[in-house]
Amino acid sequence: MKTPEHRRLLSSAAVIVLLAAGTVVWNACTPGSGVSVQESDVIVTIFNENTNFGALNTYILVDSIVHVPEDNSNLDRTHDKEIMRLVDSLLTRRGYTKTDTIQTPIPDFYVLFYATAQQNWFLLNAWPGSGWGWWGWPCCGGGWGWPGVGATYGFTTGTLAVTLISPAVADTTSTTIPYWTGAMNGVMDDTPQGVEARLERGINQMFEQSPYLQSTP
Amino acid sequence: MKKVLIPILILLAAQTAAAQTNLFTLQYNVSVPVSDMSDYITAASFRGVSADWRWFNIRKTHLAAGFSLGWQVFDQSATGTFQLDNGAVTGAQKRYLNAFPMLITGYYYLSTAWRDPKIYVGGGIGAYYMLQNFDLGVNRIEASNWHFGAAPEVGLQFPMRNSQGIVNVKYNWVNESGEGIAGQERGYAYWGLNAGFAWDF
Repeated sequence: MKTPEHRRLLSSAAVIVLLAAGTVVWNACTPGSGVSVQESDVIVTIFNENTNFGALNTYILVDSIVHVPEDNSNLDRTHDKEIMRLVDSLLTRRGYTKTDTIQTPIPDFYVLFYATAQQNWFLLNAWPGSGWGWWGWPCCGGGWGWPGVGATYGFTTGTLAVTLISPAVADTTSTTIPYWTGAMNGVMDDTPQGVEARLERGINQMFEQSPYLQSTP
Repeated sequence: MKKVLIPILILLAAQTAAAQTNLFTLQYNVSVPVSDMSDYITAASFRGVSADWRWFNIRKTHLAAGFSLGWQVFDQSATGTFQLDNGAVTGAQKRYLNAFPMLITGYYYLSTAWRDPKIYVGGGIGAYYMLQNFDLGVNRIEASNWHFGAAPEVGLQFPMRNSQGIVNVKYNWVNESGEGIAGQERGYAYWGLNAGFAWDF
């Protein structure tokens, strides 16, 4: 028969266990770390501090976006023309003039485009004690106790880079530092309309956070 | 009669003292970053817990000693553009800092009457394990380091129906050590306001 002292100890122990369990469930090292597809977009711009952007005037746009690697199955060319058209338009608004010739006169800079994408996979193991994770379902023989239970999830991330670089880059014997690079990284698992809207937003942001990108003829 | 009574009284006194020489506390912690730590995170943390074990001198003097373990989660989200030396970055940021203090503690109680409310002063000294995460979009940078630290504390312990209550204010000072996510040694400091229950055994 439990004495009042035993009951007090048991109730205290129960409170302690409940509070501790609740804390473990409620706390997490990175609460709220999930991001939406839109929140995944990151736009980075880097400029060469030795560049006088005001003194640059003419540019030539390459005719295609380079996929890295060339046969990257996670990429297609659905949005290529729109990307190049938008960059062209933004450069024109900043006072730069497009030319169609690389000689006589040589343009002040080239505009290059790169794109890459990769799939990212994650495994979730609900019972790590099994030692086999989800591969072990149903787990190996007796003695291992709980079989592994898990799930996989994955997403595709992509990066688009726009680079303004000196025509000297054609000289492969020297290293040429770009004048400016704008890059956008984000999750690509979205509708075509969603991807197009985010690309437009991202490219506009590249120029918005680069106010120095302005020709002063 | 005295030959029987005196040993019995001594044993009773020892048994009574032994029943009150251990105190276990479980506390909910709210913390606010200050000093250099607020350069990384400014938001207060409402996700904290700590557990203390305190041994009281069997002669019922004012002193207690023990150890303390804790876990505090700081998190803060931000959007917008931040400038670099030669560029800028725009994206959804999520900043996290997990603090795990592991301290040896000592306290001085202003009163030894066990069932009366009593103020105490003291604190702990020991190690802090700090886990720093910085998320930008789906990209994460992480750094974890061990630090030396100390936590002075002043509090109030008071009787409740089947246990005791405890509230205290604590200042956590964490020495610079290791490399943070920016590649530099970093220290931390945060105030804690804590409240919880205590059980004596």
